[in-house]
Amino acid sequence: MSFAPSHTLGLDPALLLPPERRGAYAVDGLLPSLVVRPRSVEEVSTVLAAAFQEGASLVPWGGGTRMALGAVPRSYHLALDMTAIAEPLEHSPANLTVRVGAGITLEHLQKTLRAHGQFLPIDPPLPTRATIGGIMASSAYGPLCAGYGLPRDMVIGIAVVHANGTRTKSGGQVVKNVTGFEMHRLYTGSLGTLGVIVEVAFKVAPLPKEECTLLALFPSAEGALGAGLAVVRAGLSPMAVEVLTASAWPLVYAPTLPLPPKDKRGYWLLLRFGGPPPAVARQERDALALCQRYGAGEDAGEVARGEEARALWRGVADFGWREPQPPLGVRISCLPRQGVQALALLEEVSSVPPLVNPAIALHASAGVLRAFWSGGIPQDAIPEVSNALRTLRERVHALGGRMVLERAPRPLKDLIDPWDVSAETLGLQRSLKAQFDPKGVLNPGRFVGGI
Amino acid sequence: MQAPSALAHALRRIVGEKYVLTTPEALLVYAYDGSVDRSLPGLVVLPGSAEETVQVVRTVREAGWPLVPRGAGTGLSGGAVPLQGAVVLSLARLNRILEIDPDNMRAVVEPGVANLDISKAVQPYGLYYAPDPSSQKACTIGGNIAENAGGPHCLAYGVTTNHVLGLEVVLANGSRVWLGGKLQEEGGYDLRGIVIGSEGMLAVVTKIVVRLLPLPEAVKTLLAVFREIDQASSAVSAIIASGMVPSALEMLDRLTIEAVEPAVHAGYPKEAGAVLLVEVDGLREAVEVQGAQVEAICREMGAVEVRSAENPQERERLWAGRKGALGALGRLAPNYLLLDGVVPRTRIVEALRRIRAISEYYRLPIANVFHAGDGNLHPCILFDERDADQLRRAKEAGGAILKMCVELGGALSGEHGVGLEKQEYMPLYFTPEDLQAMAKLPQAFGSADFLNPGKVFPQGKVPTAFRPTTRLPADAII
Ligand SMILES: Cc1cc2nc3c(=O)[nH]c(=O)nc-3n(C[C@H](O)[C@H](O)[C@H](O)COP(=O)(O)OP(=O)(O)OC[C@H]3O[C@@H](n4cnc5c(N)ncnc54)[C@H](O)[C@@H]3O)c2cc1C
Repeated sequence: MSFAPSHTLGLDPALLLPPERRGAYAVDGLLPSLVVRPRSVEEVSTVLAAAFQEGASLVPWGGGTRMALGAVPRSYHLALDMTAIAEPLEHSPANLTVRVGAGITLEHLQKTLRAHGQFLPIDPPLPTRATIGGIMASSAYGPLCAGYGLPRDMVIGIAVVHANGTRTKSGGQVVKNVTGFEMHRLYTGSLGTLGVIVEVAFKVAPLPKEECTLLALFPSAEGALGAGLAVVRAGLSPMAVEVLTASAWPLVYAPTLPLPPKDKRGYWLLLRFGGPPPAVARQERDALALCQRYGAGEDAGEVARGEEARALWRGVADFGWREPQPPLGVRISCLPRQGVQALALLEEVSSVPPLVNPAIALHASAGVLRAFWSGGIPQDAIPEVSNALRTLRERVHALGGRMVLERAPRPLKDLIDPWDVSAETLGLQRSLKAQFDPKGVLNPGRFVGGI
Repeated sequence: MQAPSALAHALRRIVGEKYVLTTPEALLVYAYDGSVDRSLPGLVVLPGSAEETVQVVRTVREAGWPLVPRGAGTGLSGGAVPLQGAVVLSLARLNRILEIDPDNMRAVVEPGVANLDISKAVQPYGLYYAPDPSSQKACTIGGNIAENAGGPHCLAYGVTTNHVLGLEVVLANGSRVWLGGKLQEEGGYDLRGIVIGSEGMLAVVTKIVVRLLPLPEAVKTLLAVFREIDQASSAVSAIIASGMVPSALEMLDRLTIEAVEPAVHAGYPKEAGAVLLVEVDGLREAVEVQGAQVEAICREMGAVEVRSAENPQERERLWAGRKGALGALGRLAPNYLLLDGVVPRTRIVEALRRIRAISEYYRLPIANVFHAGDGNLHPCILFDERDADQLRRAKEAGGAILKMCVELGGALSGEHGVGLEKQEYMPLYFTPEDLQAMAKLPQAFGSADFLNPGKVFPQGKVPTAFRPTTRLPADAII
């Protein structure tokens, strides 16, 4: 089916963006025929019902920060811009919960929560652009996963509009709830392939009374990771535990911060603590002692405070995502202890010419590595890069891990599957998709296994 | 449908002679769980391994019988009660702890392992498994997965789903697959996340990867006595609003206290209208600060007395009243009806007021002993089933309370599940479209009409929730 830009599905013209705006909604180089920007959940429902009628395929858009994720769309007729779904924004401070419209940016939400001394402990890249809907659909998270878990752990309710325009909800606004199946966990991380998320309810957390950020340099990855994991094991409850390679620093953009000297090689451990002041003092003391025991350099210690520390952690969260974005990025998941082996695998692959010198950051206690290659990838090197990545993936599998391409040039995506999931559940995943989106109109082809 | 004897024969070939039960006495034991409903199984089969479970599932499926997985049978909503003479699949023999990985803070266990036994096994490594349903000595981790069980200490640490990374399951078609695994996230749809809380209707769980936490170095328990329950409820809100999340925050009301005092001798003053039990844990320094803060807030809210305990014996004493509450309430009336509604914690004051009004209207005492920190109410309606009118009133009062929870922005169940007990109340909370979306899951899993059929979704019957209760054991905690 081919939709001319003039085919408007009978929608209210007020919902349509002018055709010249289509350029901003490219996915893997594909342009939509139509860009629709509904202003209410009712309108989202109307648009989906109209698209369903016609079998028009549809890609929901939040802030567009994660649109590089996934396989190339099989077809792409409508861009559904969700940024006008800015309601509700209902914070209940005494209940430590919030209800929020899918189009609201994370930073906007955080501002509202901060005014009451609270926050949503999820810190994915680019919070000023990333919307709640996009974050939940792509299960985006950052360093805070060490202390608080994943988006799936914070969500307590979700409302969606299904492919045919039907609206449903799951969960609610209470922090403990087993009324019915946990559909909100199914929608979290489903990349908008089962329904369009229009509203999310979260449990939120009090902001710590005091915070402390420690930085230590280690001659070896074993030392940095060992110290990070020892801090967790000792019950020091860090909010974040990040290991960075020296080449990661330039991608951790923190203008006010005296960056560690470039000439220092080695592995950096960044720790974030929060709590009542006496507890933070103790965390700092014990963590430094552990760092020393694992071979940290002399100058290990507190590196930033207040606004500076926040800027630093925003930089770590944004690692590899700020403009100019590196063309290639992978995410490897493994057991926390295997972080060192996974790091070694990444460093090994970087001997292949276009893949030299990756910048690597590791959510140490979660066992999640992110690696980016900043150099351009010449067209004729694509097959070679694809082979190298495939070999890397096989080695990651041998460790029991998984490797996802978070960002890759389109020709590379044509050669290697950006996703990496176990084949044994694909049948089940496809039958879920068939139940919720029988015509396959939502984000067709972008998710795992061609879903 | 194959004849029972033929099915029994086929199953015995898989699991061995003595692990297929068919005698009336044996079947009776599997006719109920901790709730009020009863229904005899066609037969009971107890496989000894995941491999045998696969064969059992295939065989029962081919024979055309429905199948109901069962853990310890402590469920409080009828989840393990076999309808339509279904085959009960007991996972009790799959009770091994397969792997403890202290370095990565994970363990792999079989579904029949009792919840508390996981923490006991990993304690030598300084670790524990956080979710702690009050039934934790008996209930199985498999049952916890099916109900997404909570517990008193889930306030700070989260419920079952927050601590389970992967499940090996047997699907309705007999295939055995991993959903999630040992990694933090496996990618694809969160199939793990939807099997958790699915009340045995999507798949049979045969292995579980759990996340472990370091044991806290310090624990402090405080008990605050208030004259008025509104004061205690305000203290709950004030504690949460003060920027901390205690590990547990439990409340007992006047009626409960009156019942508990003679039985447990917890030493609650006569004028006590409510008792709040608060626990904080973690680093010594944090516990000290937060303990002091809790005490100050309670006093500010009008506590007439605050006691605290830091060693295990003293702590046990403070918990005694809470733990003995249900047993003590059982002595006040021949029957009680235990509910599990949940409201936003900001609405606790109002919820308790409305429960009082419902109690007066229906002329039945209602005691409240509950997980106040997360708004999870356990109203306990006292009555005598021999009096038909009391029985009717008790049922209606129960319905009124669930309706009230939904009206206040809450939900029907905080931790016990829907099962048979609340299925007819689901339309209070969900639209038909919501329920249709949920019903797609058993379709996609191929388990509809086979795994635990007739549960969770409304069947258009008169609500069964409010039949007279058989009593839970006197030492039951909830
Ligand atoms: C005194 C008392 C206190 C309680 N306190 C709490 C509490 O604090 N918090 C709380 O959440 N609950 C509590 N409960 C309720 C109950 O203990 C929990 O729901 C528990 O999770 C049930 O576990 P079980 O092994 O007894 O499961 P069962 O009752 O045997 O089964 C429960 C459900 O799980 C399914 N199931 C069991 N095993 C499997 C499996 N391997 N695969 C798939 N499905 C399976 C069954 O089909 C059924 O639907 C309490 C109960 C009692 C009696």
